[in-house]
Amino acid sequence: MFCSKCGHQLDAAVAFCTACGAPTAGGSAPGPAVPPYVPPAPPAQSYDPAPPYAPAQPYTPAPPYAPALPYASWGDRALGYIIDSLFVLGVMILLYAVLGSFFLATVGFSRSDSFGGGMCCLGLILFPVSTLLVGLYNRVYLVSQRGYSIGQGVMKLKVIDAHGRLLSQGTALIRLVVHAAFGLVPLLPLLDLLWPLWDDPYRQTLHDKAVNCYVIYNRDVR
Amino acid sequence: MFASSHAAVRRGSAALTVGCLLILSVAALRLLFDADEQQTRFLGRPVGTACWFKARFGVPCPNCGMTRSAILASRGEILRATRIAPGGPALVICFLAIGAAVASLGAIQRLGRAAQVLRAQSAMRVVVIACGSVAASVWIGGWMVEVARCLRQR
Repeated sequence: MFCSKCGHQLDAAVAFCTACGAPTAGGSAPGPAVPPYVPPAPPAQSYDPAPPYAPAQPYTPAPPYAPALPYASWGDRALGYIIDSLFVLGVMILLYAVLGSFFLATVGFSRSDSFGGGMCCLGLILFPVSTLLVGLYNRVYLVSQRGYSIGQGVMKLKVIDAHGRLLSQGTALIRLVVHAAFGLVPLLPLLDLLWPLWDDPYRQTLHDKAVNCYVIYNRDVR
Repeated sequence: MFASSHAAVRRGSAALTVGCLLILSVAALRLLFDADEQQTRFLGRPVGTACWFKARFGVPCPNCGMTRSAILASRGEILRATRIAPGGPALVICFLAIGAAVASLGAIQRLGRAAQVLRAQSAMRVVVIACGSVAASVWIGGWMVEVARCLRQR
């Protein structure tokens, strides 16, 4: 072959003219001799990626414990509560004696103007404090360990969470604190206790609702 | 079916009993206790204890006067009771209202249809929340007014 610019005879494999340096039509010079890249043809049946996950039924979060469970009646709950309250009452009397003695020793009867008509501020604090003291064992430790307090054990009741498990100690403690806090305001402890009467079908008290737990009959001991 | 209707009747009986007991407890308060501005008496004998809070800080605690006030309110002496502690009459009135509402709920649970029971339960929640809010507000509000009055007198 010959150079198109100067006419010098060239080897067919060279890309540039050895005389003038002009690119030649052959060799590895850029040009149409190099076929453009052609992507491989798609297969006859196009690739179908995995379809989005579509289960047969839509996901639903774990429901609250099955409504068919035997939720404890208000009467049985109230009786269990009364039994538990006997221990609270005992601690209240003890604290009343201790705090009363302390009060008499520090203030005495000379301040007659401070006399009221009833339990007064001792009543205000004794119930919540006694509920907390007794409840730490009865309604936190026992309920989280075996599922029921002393009174609930007598009435064959059990406290469970929304998934049917026993309450953790933290949850049981929150439940107790809410219950004790109600004791600070007149009438609220009564409303808390009565609430299951009109709370169908779960029959929860307000302190049950605070931690979303349920009281059912304990079939294990029935 | 039988078990559920039996349970409903039992629940109705419980509510009816509790409602009546709440009303009767106010009657018992009226029968067993007596009070004036200074003292509470149980079957004629003075009872009560000193208020540590008042002795220590010179202002009444939130519960000061509530017993005397509630007893006087149960005897119909509302104005006199309010002057001692406004929370007392509010407590007694709410107690009676809740007792009547719970007894009515029990009667409806025993005799009414399912739809009526559901409506009564919804109404019950409203009544109870309203009574609790009113009683708590009057109780704490009355105490704060009394504390302010004591502090002004110093």
